[in-house]
Amino acid sequence: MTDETPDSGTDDPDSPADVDGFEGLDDPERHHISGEHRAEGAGLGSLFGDVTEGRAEEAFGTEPGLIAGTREDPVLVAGVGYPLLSDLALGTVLAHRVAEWDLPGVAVADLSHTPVAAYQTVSEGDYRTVLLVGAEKRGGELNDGTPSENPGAIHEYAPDAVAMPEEGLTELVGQSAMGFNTVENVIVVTRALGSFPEDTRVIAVEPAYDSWGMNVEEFSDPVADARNEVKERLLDHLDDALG
Amino acid sequence: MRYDYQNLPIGFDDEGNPYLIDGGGFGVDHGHSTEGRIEDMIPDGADEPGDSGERTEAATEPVSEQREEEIHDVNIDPVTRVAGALAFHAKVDLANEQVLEGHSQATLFRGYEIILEGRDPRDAIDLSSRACGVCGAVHSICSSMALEMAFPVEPPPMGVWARNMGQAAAFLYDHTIHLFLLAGPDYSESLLGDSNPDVLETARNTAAPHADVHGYESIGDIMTALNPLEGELYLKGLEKTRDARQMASLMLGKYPHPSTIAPGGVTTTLSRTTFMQFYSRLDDMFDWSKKVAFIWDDLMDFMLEHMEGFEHVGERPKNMIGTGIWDDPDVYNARYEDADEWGRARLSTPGVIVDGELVTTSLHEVDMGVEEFVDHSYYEDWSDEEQRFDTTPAGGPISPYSPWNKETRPKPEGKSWREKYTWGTAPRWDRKTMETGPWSRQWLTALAEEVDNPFIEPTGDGLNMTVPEAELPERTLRWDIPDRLNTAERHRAKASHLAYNALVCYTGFIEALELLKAGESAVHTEFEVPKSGTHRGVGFWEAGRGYLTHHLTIEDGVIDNYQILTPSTWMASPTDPFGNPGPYEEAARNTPLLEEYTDEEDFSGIDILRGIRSFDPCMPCTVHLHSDRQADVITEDVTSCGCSFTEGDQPAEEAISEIIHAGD
Repeated sequence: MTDETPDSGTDDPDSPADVDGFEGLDDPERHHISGEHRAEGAGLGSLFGDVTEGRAEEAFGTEPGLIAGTREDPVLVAGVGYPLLSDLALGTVLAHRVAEWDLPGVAVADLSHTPVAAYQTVSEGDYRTVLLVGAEKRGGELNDGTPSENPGAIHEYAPDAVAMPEEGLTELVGQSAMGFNTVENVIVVTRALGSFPEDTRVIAVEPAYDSWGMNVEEFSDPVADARNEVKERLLDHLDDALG
Repeated sequence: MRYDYQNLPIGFDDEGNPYLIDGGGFGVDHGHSTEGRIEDMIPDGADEPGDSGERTEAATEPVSEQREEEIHDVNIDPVTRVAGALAFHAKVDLANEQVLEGHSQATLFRGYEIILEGRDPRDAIDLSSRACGVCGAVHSICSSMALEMAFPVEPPPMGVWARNMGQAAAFLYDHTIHLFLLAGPDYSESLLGDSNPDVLETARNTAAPHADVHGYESIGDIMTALNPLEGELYLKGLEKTRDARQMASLMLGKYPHPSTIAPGGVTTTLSRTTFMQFYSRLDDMFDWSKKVAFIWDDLMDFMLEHMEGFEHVGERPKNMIGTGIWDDPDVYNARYEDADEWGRARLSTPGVIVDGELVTTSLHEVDMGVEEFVDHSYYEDWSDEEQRFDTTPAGGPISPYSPWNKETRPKPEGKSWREKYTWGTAPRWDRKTMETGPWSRQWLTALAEEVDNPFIEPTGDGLNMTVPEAELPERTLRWDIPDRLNTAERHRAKASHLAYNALVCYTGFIEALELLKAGESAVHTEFEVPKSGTHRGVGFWEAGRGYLTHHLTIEDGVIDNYQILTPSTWMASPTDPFGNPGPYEEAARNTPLLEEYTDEEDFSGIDILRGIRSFDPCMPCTVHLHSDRQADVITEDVTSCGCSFTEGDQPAEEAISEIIHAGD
């Protein structure tokens, strides 16, 4: 199955071929993760590309939350992320990467909205397998620019490994309808309101930097290094699920 | 109609043109707030001057030693079930069941204006969208409208309707979340069982007048259905957010941060299929809106009848402001000079209400009257520099504190409630405190009687909203302008506003199909970014929570100044330089303590929270701080907890200082 992937032989996740392939994706989030960081003058143009040309795309919403595949597919790959917050964009970037592979039987969701919307996207289909991927900060506050405990470390676990809070669940769900889009919150909210399929794996990478940044090249070195490993793990799981 | 400004030096000549009154100035006595109200803001102060609410008389009585023992500081940090970071400090008299003081505190800094400086103007659409996790669409659209005014470029009719429909659908999402996930639990069986068990028992024995519409036989049944996480209405509300989000995505490409917004319209590919997919979801919304309106009508009527004093919870004077929303493409041309005309042609009328009276529907007058003050905010006053603009683009005189002239200068240095205590500013219109929201949209539209629509009929004293047949029969919902502006009426108006939004969607659906038939399917007009000179634009486009403006100045092709004024900035505002509290603060002071408690330990503050949550607070949730020493941008959390004020800490100042000087 790895032969079907366009970059299966690429070791460097930031190689020109990899980035070019990513930039070629025809999806809305493309504009949020490529381009110049800051315009020093009008000549440099917009961060988000030429909006008059680059945005001529289909609206989507008929397959809620999905950027590839359908809710009838047996497998869902779901990327949790914040497109404008550096390493926290990992889930979004990987989701669009997997969508580009265009694998039969694999639906892909960009869960860069809210944990409640993520729960709804996951529960919308009758998926047999769900692969949830994203950056997950351990220790410290979210979005304060400080590194996680072990930047670049990859953690793989089942959703029930996350402890459900004993108090404040109503408050968490309410606030998660409007943001607070972390891997942990997606798991907690989904388990509070529904459930994951039995065959669900979470693949999370600890960020080194979780603050402002909107470019693929702005992944920190540890996360950029981990990105390829995560892709390989995703492919292994997809092999197992579809095999 | 021309408004006679009471506090600003603006007059109108015989032809209706505004001018600066001779000898008039926009001066502000900044000393007021550090003198007149100071004594009332210290921990042991209870002899506050009167405010315009109804519960101040008792609070002005001399304070006895015995009473002082009953006065407690209550710090609610964070206020939960709101978007973002809001803290509230109240001074309560538990013996007399009164709130003596309230201070609203935005605990995080939102620096999007600073991030946008120096950038390509087109970036504002996507970057400002991130100011909120719910209201991304409103910021994107508002920003695109500021840009299309500055460029200028005028969108084609289908582009205007796509914006209207996508935004109304997003409000269906927003309002449903608030009614059932955020505010709803305050009226649930599980919460009332703790705070007001007698009221709950009465509810169980009280028939719901509109059971035939919503299906709940008793008020107690409604309260049970509102139970968080498991109640039928809680879960149904959750489910409907999915449908509304899909509707918004069909028009705007993506939710909450749209991917197809551009100056001059949208770039969504729209076909007959798109509209049919939209309608299939809208059809369900018709019935949902009928049920929701009557559920909250029954619930609020019950609370008003059976919880004595509930009419004062969250009560404020009837002062409201709105920019209006949902344009008529036959009138909208993106030009500031014509804003009065296209503003009044909107499906929700802009304007201002003072003490219950409609005083203007002119966007020019709205814009001229707005000022933002920072006397109690973690910002530095910018009026020491030469005023950037003396007038609006149409020539109306404006204050140095107008958003056209405002600069964002973070300077956290507060130490007490008497000084600076929030990241929010104090917006005022004609130097009056205003609130805004779905209720102001309906109130303004009803009074103005400008809207001409087959489904939404303003009658001067209310609205008739005719919601089409779905599974439930067609029904005309009647919303009457209430006698009071309080928690109950905010919820009642918001609940009926679901129908309003569904009808905007329906109007757009019909208009869009007509445009498709006529072959007018273009959704976007090409534009050019001006490469030189000064260009100004403002977006007037309401958020779900009300008034929203983006003021933009472009200098030689890049953003020179960008100012976002959100509804929650209006409502979470601190006390202004003239001594007037912000809406949350004023509403809290007017709120009686109705919960059953025995002592301080047993006191939850639920009535204060009910009042604040009725505004649907939406606070920014991250800090974005620009560092002058580098071309890059850094982002850090800067929290400033008011609980530490009495201990003399300066957490915000220290945090900001560390960030700014890191690496020096």
